[in-house]
Amino acid sequence: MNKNIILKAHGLTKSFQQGVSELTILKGLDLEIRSGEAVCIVGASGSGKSTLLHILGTLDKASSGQVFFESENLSTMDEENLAQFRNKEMGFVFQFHHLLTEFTALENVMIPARVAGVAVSEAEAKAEHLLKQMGMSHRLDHYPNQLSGGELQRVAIARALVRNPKILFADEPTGNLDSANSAVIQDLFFQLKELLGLTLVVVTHDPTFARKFGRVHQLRDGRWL
Amino acid sequence: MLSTLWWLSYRLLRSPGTKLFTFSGWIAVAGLVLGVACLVVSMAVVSGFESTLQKSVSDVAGHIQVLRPTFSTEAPEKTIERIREIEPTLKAATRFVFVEGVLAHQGELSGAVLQGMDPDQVNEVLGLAGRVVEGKFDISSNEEVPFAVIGKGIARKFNLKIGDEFRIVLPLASQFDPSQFRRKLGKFKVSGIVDLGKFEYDERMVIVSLPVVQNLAEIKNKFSGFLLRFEDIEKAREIGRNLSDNLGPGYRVRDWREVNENLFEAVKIEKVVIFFVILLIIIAAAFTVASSLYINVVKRYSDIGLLKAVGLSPRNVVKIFSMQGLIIGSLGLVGGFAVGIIFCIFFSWAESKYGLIPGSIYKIDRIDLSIRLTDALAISFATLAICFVATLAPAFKGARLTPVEGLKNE
Repeated sequence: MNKNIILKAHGLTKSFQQGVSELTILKGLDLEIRSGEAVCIVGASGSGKSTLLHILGTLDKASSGQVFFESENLSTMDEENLAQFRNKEMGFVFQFHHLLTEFTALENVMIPARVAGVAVSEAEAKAEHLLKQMGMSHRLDHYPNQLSGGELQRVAIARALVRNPKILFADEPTGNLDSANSAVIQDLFFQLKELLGLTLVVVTHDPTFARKFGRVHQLRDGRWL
Repeated sequence: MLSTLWWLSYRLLRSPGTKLFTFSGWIAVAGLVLGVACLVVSMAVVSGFESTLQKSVSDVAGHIQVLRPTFSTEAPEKTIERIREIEPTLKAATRFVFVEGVLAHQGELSGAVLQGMDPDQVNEVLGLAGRVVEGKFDISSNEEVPFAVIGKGIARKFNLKIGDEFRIVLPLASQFDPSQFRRKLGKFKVSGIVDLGKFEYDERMVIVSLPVVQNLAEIKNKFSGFLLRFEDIEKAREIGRNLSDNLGPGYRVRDWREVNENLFEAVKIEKVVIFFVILLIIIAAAFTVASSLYINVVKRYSDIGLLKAVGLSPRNVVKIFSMQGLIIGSLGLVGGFAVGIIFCIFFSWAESKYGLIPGSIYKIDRIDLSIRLTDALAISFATLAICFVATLAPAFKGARLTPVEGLKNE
């Protein structure tokens, strides 16, 4: 595999059983993403873009086809190893922030580091640093129900970055925000990409956001257009 | 890693957005508190019954009784010396003799057991002095009318007070015709009234000096045997066997437990049965724990999905929810012990104030409740084990969830 290629998908299909009929969402997709690239996947609602992102991020399994991360075949890994792998190499931001409501902003950001076994003090320092970078230094000890939509998403981004992942997956990260907040978050993604040398894979149906990417793929009925 | 799992597990027990435990969690804890408290109290009662019984038996009959063969002419000092050689942990010994008679006082009659013992040794062997409720433990026979110590039941029945005199009639078999009896009358003065802890003893026991009984029953210097006290009552059975093997033919040895074998065996079996019956309450409570955790797992599909997405392995998901079961179990245990102990204290107070236990039915009329370490450990282990098992089904349900299934549940 080319040294620069960080993520490669080959012949990905995904089908769901719906009653007696089978619904095929992805129909044999190939994809190669280079390290440091920013890739946007667009498509109409139901085109399978989120499903593709979940399969690339190992959050879901493909019905057939394979996903490689650098030289590793992720399709053959078991759940225990995949969990570790995701923790170490991948970050996720979703449309809904998915912050745990019983934990403060700082604690939410610390979770992936603590799951990895990083010492509490170290995890805390790293989380605090990231939240400050996101302009959230005044909100460290606030609980999710005390934060605004934009703030919640910034905490979620900090959480995705706390383990220094090589690749960041974002599924409609601005889908739930007003236009002002949306613009701030979009810029934040590109700033972080430059700053940390991240590979960015973003699913969105927002054309303004999509236009900011160097590479855009469009999905229609489970196939690249 | 373990500290992270405890951290997640404890925090995820809170209701969303608060620092409080979930309501269903509290209900589960409350169920366990009730079950554990019942178990603590019932074990304290049964163990207390056992140890109260043990103490009263050993206070009255010593740790071991050695019955002397009727043909023996060995000097008592010599026998005690031999016992000490076989069992160096012997602390004290007294000779004793039992004679059955009829106590007569102010027109009332009742069966009584006249127990004669060495006045100088009796207090070293038996714990009777500590059981005196009125007067003092004095069985000297220096005065014209010998002193006697009587059970509190007799004192009540005959309305005997310290300094009162009473008579005991002994039937003595005729030397010429064993089917004929003649009466022999003994007169005694009450020096002390004792609470012997066991109904039968209290209602029948009259303790006097050995020579007085020997005189009255005309048995010269004969006696039934020895009551012995050793350093450790718990080794009595072992020591008893050793004595029985080595003392020689004709000697009969009984330890304190054998004196009331049926009763102690019954208590032992009763304790095991009660433990398991009341454990059913905890098992029932464990279903609440399971359902509360199940609700928690279902409510947290999205959180579980997220945690798995950021790297929590299925095995650790199982651990987190099992730990929640253990946290609920531990809270139930602590609360249950607290409630149980408070109830025991209240029971002891009520018992001493109102005399709750009818001695004629239960053989003893009060119980010193005792919470033993072994009981406490058995209760704790059983409770936590049951709670742990109860968590497994919900925990595995959480572990089976794929990250994406969880995340779809916003």
